[in-house]
Amino acid sequence: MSELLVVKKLCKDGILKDISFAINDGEMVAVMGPSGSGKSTLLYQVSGMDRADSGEVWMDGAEISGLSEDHRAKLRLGQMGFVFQHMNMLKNLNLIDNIRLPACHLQKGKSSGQEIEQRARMLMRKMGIEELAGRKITEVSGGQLQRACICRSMINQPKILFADEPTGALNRSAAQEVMEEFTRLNRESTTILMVTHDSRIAARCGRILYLLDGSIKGELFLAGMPEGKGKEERMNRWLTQMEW
Amino acid sequence: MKHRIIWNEIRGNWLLAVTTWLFMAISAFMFALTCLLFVSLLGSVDTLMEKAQTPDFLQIHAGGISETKLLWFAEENEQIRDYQTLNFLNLENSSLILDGYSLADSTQDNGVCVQSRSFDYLLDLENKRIQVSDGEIYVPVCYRKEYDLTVGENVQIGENSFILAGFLRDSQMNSMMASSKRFLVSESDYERLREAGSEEYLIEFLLWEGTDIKTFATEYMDAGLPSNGPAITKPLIRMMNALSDGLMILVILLVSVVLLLISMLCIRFTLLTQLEADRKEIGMLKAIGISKRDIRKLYNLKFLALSGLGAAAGLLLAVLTEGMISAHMQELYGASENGLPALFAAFAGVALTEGILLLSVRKTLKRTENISAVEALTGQCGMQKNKRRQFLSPQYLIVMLVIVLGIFMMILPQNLLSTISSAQFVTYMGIGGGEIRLDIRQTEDIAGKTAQVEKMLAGDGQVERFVALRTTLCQAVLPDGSHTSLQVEQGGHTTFPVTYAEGELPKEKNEIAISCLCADELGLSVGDGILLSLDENIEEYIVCGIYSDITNGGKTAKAAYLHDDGPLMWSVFYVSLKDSAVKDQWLSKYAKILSDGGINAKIVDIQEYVADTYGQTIQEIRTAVQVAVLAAALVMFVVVVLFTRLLVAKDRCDISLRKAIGFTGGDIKRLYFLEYLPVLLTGILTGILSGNLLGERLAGMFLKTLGATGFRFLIDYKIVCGWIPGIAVITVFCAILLGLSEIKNIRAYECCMGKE
Repeated sequence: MSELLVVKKLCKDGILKDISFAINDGEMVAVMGPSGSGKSTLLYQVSGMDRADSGEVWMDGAEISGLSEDHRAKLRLGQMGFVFQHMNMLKNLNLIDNIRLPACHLQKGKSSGQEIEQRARMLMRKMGIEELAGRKITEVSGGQLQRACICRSMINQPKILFADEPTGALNRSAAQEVMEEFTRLNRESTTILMVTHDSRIAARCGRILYLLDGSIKGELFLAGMPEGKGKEERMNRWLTQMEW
Repeated sequence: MKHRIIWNEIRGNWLLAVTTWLFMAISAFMFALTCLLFVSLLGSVDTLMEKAQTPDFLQIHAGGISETKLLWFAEENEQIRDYQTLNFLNLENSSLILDGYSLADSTQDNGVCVQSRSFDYLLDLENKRIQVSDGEIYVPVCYRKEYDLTVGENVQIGENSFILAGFLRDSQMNSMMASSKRFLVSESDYERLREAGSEEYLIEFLLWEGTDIKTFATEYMDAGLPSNGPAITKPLIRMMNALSDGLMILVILLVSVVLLLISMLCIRFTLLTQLEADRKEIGMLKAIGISKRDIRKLYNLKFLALSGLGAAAGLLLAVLTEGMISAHMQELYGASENGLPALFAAFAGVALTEGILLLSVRKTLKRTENISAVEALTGQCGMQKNKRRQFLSPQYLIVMLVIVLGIFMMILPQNLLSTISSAQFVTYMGIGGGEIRLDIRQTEDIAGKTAQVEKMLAGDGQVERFVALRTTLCQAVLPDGSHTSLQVEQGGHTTFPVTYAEGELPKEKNEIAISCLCADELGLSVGDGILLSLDENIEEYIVCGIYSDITNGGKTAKAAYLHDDGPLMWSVFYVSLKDSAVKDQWLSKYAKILSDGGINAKIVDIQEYVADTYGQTIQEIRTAVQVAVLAAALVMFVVVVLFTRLLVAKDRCDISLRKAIGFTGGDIKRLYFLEYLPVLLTGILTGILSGNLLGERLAGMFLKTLGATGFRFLIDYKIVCGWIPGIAVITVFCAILLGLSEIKNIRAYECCMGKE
């Protein structure tokens, strides 16, 4: 597997201190740590939403940390997908239009509206929310909305999906459903970097980075381990070692 | 997709969209209306003057004339295209009765004439040359509304009866500011009436294009041609025609500018309110990779659409209402042939207005660049979060500016109204103050009659003070050696002084004050020397002051003493009485005494003169004041409501927290009122000051272009310092109350839920 994302000595406002790691193509990585450890800040620097004070971020063999704001925006639109804790969507558009929005903006006439519509419906079908296509965002549940957000993040077939506490605002069963979708996407070879403080969610990932006071304190590989009690126990032991 | 986002956005935030559209439409309407009225007025006046073939130079003369001498001058002078002498029969106003209404109280010089032969035609209401039959009379159109006249009614001149056959437009004397009015009768009727009045001549010239009228006037005087009366030029006629309705357009223009500024502020408000509400969405759009330029474009497109709709509505409304507003103007001057240019000007005005508004939107939208995706997503509060609101914070400065502009918009037309309505306003027009004016003109032995009246007034116990001003025609020799004729009014100018734009009135020997028009034409300013020649003696005078004057052709001078007394052209008395209450009786008494004594004098109450001359203008400005006060109050109300709503939306967390710890809604409202108090007081004070000082300069600049210089406001302090601030305080108070009503919907627990 090739390295898709490489982070070298990243620093930001004293919140992140010399952070370095790499994510391989097709990996699903969780970033964990206590509140204030810098998890979300790391995600924003790595995805190019914010600019770090120093350090480098490389994606697919090209440095992205030095790009201008507009270039980084273009990169986010075409090659990255985002899922946030609070399902941010445009309140004046219905569900399917919100999903289509990044594709319409990226294509700008290159691909027909019908093609985008079909792709959006296909994603919604996979997530089980196709029948909600015409609903307003206020007319669906939190879990359904978050699944719509995942559809939106996938509409441009990104190389990597960033998720910031994607289940943070959901109840247990909705969180479970959303995680099923992430796992399925990863199985279909989507690379995912996810920030979470929920150990059960992190247990579904192949690797966990533990962040404390802006530095990576530990790293745990879970890839290849069979799902079940053994995997969760190993992770819990490791988290205890990390003083979680 | 863009269109769907914009359309949904407009539907979702329809109140903000409608407010924005409304301001765009109002601004477009006001500017379109100003342009339409201005171009139409100029067009109407020009069309009328063109169709009537207004003379370029006109000399009014009382006394005999030598046609041969005039003909010789006309043939010799290559600048003359055509020439004619018209007779004008001045009538006693009391002998004129229009459908039962006597013109005895009219301050105008009314008289009859016949249709011109070759130019200076009197036109009907379709701007066609009138052919009048015997027994018929055409009445000046300005009297139609004033005396509620209709065709077919009876007009009595002394013992002679006429049928009112129609109304006439007179390109020279149409404006109420022109002191004479011509009635049109047939030649045989004119002959019949000849004995009923005193005759004077209008010696008129049409000149070739490019002729310098000033040089021509000098040549005319040098030729020793008849000049016992004022000389008037075509530009002065145009100015008098444009002045009365021009003042109304000035008020509309000034209100338009203020409204545009207010619209800019309001649209900025609504946009900021929206950006504040959309902050999270903008952050999300940025996060998913939509560039800041594209986000701005979305908003720009929305405002472009609203602006287009606003422009169309404003333009349409202006075109629809223009006819109504310019009804008086159109009756007086006829329809403008400037239809297309007026529409083009209105379109240009609207484009300029919308362009300015869209540029201000563009500037405000730059703020979206400061919204960070990270901050918006992590819920870090708004653009101005954690900045303590202060009295001079940008938000309050904007509200203060709107209050200042609102007060300015109310005060400026009000001051203009109180100034023009005041009896003192005539002193800007070259007429001294006082209560009564008595003119001795167009009669034999003016000097003797003047002395007689002077003696009479001196012995009258009811007269408080009076002054006799005698006008003589002098030849002025200019520094460059050229010379020109000048009507010099001699007498005690200190008794009832006119208003001086520069310098002061003449008190000493060898001091002379000249009119602005004269100063412009002769290139003289205060301190310059001027040689006056009278009866072959030449004396040097120093220009001590410059005043504005639109009477007697506008080219006049005033001196305390003249070294030689030449023949008098006319004399004027200004009189004030010890008891104003007996003014009417005194006027009737003197009218009888003068008439019995064989003195042909015109005696008028100056207040009535103002009402007659500026009545229509005053009425139009009064309407403009009412509209301006209403519009300003409405705009202040809308802006303060919007602003307060924005404040409450921003402070939602704080208000919720205050409620959680035990503040009542009333306590919180009181805090906002306290914050508003200094803003309101400073806004009102600044508004009053700027309305009076800056407004005076603005109005003065405009009036200067129309010929009235040295303009000063005559302020009605009861309205300016009492009523207007009162209206502003009540409006703002009600607006704050309405804006704060949202507080009752904020729950104490919201802050605990992390809602913004």
